Amino acid sequence: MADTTRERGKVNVWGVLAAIITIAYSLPILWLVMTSFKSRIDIFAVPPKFIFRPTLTNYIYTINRGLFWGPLLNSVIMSVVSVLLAVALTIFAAYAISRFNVKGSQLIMFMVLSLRMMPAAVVVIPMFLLYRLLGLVNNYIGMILLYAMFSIPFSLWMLKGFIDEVPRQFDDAALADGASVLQVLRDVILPQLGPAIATVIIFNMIFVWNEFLFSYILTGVETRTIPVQIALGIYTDKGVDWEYVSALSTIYIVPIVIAVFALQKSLLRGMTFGTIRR
Amino acid sequence: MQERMKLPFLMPMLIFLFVWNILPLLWVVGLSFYQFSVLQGGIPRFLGLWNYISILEDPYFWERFRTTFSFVALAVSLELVIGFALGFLFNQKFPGKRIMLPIIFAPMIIAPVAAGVFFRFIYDPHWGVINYFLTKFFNIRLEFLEKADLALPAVAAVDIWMWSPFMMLMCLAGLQAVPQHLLEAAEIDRIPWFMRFRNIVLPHIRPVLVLAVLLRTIDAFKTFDIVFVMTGGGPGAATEVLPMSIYRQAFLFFRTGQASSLAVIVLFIAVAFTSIYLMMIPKEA
Amino acid sequence: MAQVRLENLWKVFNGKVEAVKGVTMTIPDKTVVCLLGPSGCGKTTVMRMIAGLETPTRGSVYFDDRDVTHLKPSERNVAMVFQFPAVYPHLNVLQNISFPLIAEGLSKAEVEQRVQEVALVLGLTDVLKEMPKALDTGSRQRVAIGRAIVRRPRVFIFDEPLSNIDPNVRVEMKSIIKQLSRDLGQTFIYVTHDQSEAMTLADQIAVMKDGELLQFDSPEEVYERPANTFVGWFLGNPGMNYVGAQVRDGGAGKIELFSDTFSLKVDAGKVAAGTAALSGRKVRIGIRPEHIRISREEQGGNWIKGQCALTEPMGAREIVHVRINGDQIRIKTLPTDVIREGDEVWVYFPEDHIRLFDADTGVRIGN
Repeated sequence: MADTTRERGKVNVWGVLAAIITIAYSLPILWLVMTSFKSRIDIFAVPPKFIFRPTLTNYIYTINRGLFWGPLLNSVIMSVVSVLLAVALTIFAAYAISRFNVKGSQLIMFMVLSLRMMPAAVVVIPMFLLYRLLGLVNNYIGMILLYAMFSIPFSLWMLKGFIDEVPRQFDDAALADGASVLQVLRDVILPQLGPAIATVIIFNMIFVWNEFLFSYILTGVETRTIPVQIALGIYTDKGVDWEYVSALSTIYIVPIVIAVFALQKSLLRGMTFGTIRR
Repeated sequence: MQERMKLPFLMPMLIFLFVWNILPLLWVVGLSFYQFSVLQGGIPRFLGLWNYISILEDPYFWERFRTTFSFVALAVSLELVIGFALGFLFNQKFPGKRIMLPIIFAPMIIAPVAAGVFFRFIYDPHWGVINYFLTKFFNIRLEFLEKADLALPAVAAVDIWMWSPFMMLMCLAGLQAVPQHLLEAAEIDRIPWFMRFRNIVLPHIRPVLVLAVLLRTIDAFKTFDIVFVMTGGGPGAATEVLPMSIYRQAFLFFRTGQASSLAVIVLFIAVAFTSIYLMMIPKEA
Repeated sequence: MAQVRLENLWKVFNGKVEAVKGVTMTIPDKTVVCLLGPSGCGKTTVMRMIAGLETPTRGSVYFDDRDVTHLKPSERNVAMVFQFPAVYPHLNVLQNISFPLIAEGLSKAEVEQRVQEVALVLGLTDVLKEMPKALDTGSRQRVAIGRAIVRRPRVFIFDEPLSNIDPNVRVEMKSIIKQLSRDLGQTFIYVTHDQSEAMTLADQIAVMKDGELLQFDSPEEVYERPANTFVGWFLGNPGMNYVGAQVRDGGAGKIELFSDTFSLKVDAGKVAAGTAALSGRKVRIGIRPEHIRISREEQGGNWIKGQCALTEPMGAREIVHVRINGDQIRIKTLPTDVIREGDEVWVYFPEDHIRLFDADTGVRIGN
C-alpha cells in the first residue's frame, strides 16, 4: 500500500510543476482574453484588476467601430482560397518529384525551401513594384496569388514527405491494372493522403492568417486583413485603443488555439517543414 | 511511360513560383545596382556596386548587423535553455499532459502581430501589469520599450515566449528517441545522472537540437512583425533588425536601390543558413 | 550473493490491467531460476519488479532479509541483460564494459584488469576498440553481458537475452550463458518464453500464465509432474497429450479410466492416491508424446483404439497424430512408413507416465 502512495506522490511533483508552468505560460493570452472582457475603467485600473465584472461592451464596440467584418472576411477568404490553390497546384509537383526521376529535384527542393527561409522584407520591395505595375495593389486576385505563392514551399515539402511514405507498390499495382498516372494520383494516392492534406491545409491557413508585412504593404482598406487592422487600429483620436485591440485579437486567435489541439500530433512535422517526421 | 506526365505535373507550380517569386527576387538583385526611388520614379541610374559599398562602409548598417546578431543570439540561446528544461519536464510521466501541451504550444502559432501588440500593453509603464508588480515589490518603473538598452531584450522576450515551446517540441522528440532500455540499463549499472546525460542522452538528442537551433536562427533572423508593432525599430535604431532596416530604407526613406542591395545581402545569408540546415538533416529522420 | 524472495507481488497497470497477480516465491541463493511463460504472462513484469524498474502495486521484494521494494535499481546492486542488446551506441566496446566501473570510481588499473578478464571470458578481446554499430547482435549482446558481469553484482537478471539473436548464434550464446551461470555461482534470474532454453539453463523453473505463478520446481519435476494441463502442454515439443475419461473403481487396487471407446485399468497407487475420492470424477489423462507406444495390430488389454489423422516426418523422429474419441494426441516415434493417414491404430499409455488432471480445473490429481 505504501508504495502506491509513494508512486503517486512522485508523479505529482512533476505534474504540479508542469501545471504551474503551463498556467504561467498561458498568462499573456489569459490576460489578453481577460482584458477583452473588461470595461474601459477596469482595463486601465491601477492596481490591475484580476477579478472584475465581465462585459461584452468591447466586442460590441469593436464590431461597430468599422473595419471589422471586412478584414475578418478578407482574412478568411484569402487564407482559404490561396491555400487551396497552392495545395492543388503543389500536389502534382510533389507527386512528380516523389515518384518520377526528376533531374534537379534536389535543387528544386533546396530553392523552394530557401524561398521560405528568406525574410519577407527581402521580397516585399519588388512585389510592391510588380503589383503597382500590374495594378494588383489592393486587389483580391493579387493577394490570393501572393498568398498562394507564399504557401507553395511549405506545401511542397510536406506533401512530398507524405507521398514518399506511401509505398510505391500501390502505384505499381494500379499502373499494372492499366490505370493512368492521373487515376493513380486521384484514386490511389489522394485517398491515403486525406489526413496529411488536411494537416498541410490547416498549417498553411495559419501561416496566411498570421501574415502581416505583405498585407500591410499591398492591401488597402477594402482588402485589409486582421493583422494589419490590429496593428493600425491601435491608434485612434483618443489615444491607444486597448478595448478594440484586445477584443479583436481575442477573436483573431480563437481559431488558432483550436487549431493547436487539432494539430498536436503533426506539430513537430509541420513546424520543421516536414524535415523531421515523427 | 508515366514519365511523360513529369512536365505537366511539375511545370504549373514551377512557372508560378518563377513568375511570382524568383522573378521578383531577380528584380531586387537588379535594383540593387541602381539608384532608384519609388517615390520619385523616373529612370533608374546604374551605379554598379556602389549601393553595396555604401552599405558596407556605413557604420549605421554594421550596427544593424550587430543588433540583429544580438537579437538572434539572445532569443535563440534562451529559447534553447528554456525549451530544454521544458522538454525534460514534459518528458516525465504525469497526468494531464494532453491538456497542458497544446496550451504551451499555442504561442508559437499565434500571429506575431497580436503577440507584439499585446505585450506592449503588458509592458506599458503606466498601466502595464509587469510595471505594477515592479513598482509594488521593487519600487521601480521600467519603460521597457522606450529605453534603448531595454527595448531589444524586451522584444526578444516576446520571441522567447513564442518560440521556447518549439525548442521544447524538438527536445521532446529527441528525448523520445533515446531507447528506454538504454536508460534502464544505465540506471541498473548505477551510472550517475550526469554521466548518463553526457554519454547516453546528449548524443541521441544532439542532431535534433542542431536542427532546432538552426531553424530558430533562420526564423529569428526574419523577425519583423513583432518589432514593427512593438517599437517600429526604435527607440532610435535600438531594435532595428535587418528586415526592419530594409523596410525603413524602402518604405520610409524610399531609398529603393539601397534597400534592395541590403535585401540581397540578407537573401544570401538566408540561403546560406538554409543550405547548412539541409546538410544537417539526418538521412533517416 | 543473495536469496530473492517475492511476497504476494501484484502489479496493476493504469488501475485496470492486472499484469501480475499475487506471486509468491523464494529464489534460493546461487541458483539459476527461469521465469517461463507465454508472452503477456507477466514474467517480464515480475523481473522488472525484482530489478526495481517497476514498483509493485502490492506486495514486497526481499533480497536476503532486506526489504528492497522501494529501492531504486541502482540501490539494489543487480545487473541486467535486456532483450534488445543494451549497448551504449556512442561508446566503444571497452568504454561500454568499463562504464559502470568508471562510474563507481575504481582505479584505472583495477578497471583495466577486470575488463580484460571479462573480455577474455566472452571472447571480446579483439573487438574492444570497435563501436557497437560494427558488431552483430550476438556480439552486442555479449558486450551487454560483459557490462553486467564486470560489476560483480548480487543478482543477475536476464530478460529474454536470446530472443533477438540470430538463430545460428543462439546455440553458442546459450552455452556461454550456461557456463557463466556455473562459473559465477550467483543468483541468476532468467526470463524466457522458450521452454528448451529454460530446460537447458535452469536449476529451477517458474512457470507463469496470466499473471499467476503456476508451478515452481526443478525442470524434471515441472516436466514430469506439471501442476496443471497448461504447464504440461507448454513444456515439451510437442507438449503433453490429453484424453478425456471418467474414473471408477477397478477393484484389486486398480482404478478404471474409461470412455465410450476405451477402458484402462491402472494401478491406483502408481497413478493416483486414494481411489475412493476419484471414483465418478471426470478427468483428463495426460501423457507425453515420447512415452506412448503405437501399433497397427490389436494388442489386447489396456491398448486403446484410435485413428491416424496425420503423420509429420521430423527427420530422426516422426510425429503421429491419432484421434481417440474426439481428442487428438501426438505421438513421437521412430520414423515408420507402416502407418498412414486414416489407418486404424492401437496406442498404449505406460502406467508410470500417466498423469491425471481434473477435467474442469485442469489441476493435477494425485502424484
